[in-house]
Amino acid sequence: MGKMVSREDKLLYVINELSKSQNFDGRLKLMKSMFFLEHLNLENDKLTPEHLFSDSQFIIYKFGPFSFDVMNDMIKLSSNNLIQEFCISGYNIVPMMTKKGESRIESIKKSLSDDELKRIEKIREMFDDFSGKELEEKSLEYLGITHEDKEDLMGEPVEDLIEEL
Amino acid sequence: MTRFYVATFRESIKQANRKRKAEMIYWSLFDPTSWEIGAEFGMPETAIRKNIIDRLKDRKFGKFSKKFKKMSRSERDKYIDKFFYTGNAINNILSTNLNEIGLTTRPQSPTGGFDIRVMKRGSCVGCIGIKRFVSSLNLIDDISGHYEKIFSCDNNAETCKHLVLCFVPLFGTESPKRMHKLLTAYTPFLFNMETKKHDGETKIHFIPVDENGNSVNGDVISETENIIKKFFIALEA
Repeated sequence: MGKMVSREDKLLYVINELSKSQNFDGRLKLMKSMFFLEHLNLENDKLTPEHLFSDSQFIIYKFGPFSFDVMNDMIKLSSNNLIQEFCISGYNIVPMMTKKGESRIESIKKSLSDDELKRIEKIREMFDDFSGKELEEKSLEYLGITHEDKEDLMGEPVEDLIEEL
Repeated sequence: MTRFYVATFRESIKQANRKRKAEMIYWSLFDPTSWEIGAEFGMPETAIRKNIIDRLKDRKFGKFSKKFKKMSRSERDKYIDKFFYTGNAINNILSTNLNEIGLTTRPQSPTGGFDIRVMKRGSCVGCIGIKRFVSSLNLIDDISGHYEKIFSCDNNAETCKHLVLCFVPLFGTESPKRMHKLLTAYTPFLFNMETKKHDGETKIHFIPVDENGNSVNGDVISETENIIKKFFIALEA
């Protein structure tokens, strides 16, 4: 319990959890879920600049908070054949677990702390009904910015914005 | 920090040779956000970032390279996130180059709807939209959004000439000519869409660019210059 779990393994576990829901519609939803896992304080339902999950860095981009760490980890998971991505419609590329990926889930689960497991479960439940696009809107709402603001803030680290909230 | 580095970057662009500028355009075509909606880059983002860093550190890029070398790793990353990946770099390279061929231009915010304005006697007579497409997934939405923005925020939009340049980075041995043929198949759809919005003169061009900075007819800078000159020929007269 509570062993050091790599960022990629945490992401793999989150993908496994999200893919249990019919509402998991792709990368956009995964990215915003990772953002909330990283920065949402569940006790007061407010964002915190602290890193609460996998130490992924987020900045503001075209569709709200975005992380190169998450993107690059996903690419690694895919090239290691732990996940496979399927195109379900024009924009939606949905990551799914492969057998190889599934075989790792139990050992990752054992290594995650109880707090981390609860956190993943809670965030998944909170936003289960949201599509990726709706979750993008939600993330902007939590950050207190509009689509117009977002355009001026492109490339800014989210921690800086959260501190100003 | 950004304003200072943008000024120095623009100075360096003037000093850099044409080949270096053309290569720089290629490396400024990656919009990481498109990954979220399903685009694939054909190479890891870390490799794209490394290529940009290597070129900015190179002495051939002028005095900016000295300043860039002095930045910390996180400052360099922030610079690439804010300046390259958002489209500011390509706007500045093209704008500087257009000034050299006699067009007065003013680069705008990359997301402001019209990325370069062409000026004549102090007023805006044309808008050049710079679009970067790693894939065709968001092509229709992006171009449609571009027109929406122009017509919702610019009073002169109806009287301006509008040129939308769609740059497409190629991977490996993909041929610019072949890609150009494939992409122009979209033009009828885009044309229908744009005529609904605007009665004036509007044109969309696809410009595929390979890793060496080459496009359909020579390097990407010549290609872009020719398209722009042809479109704005009335301005020069």
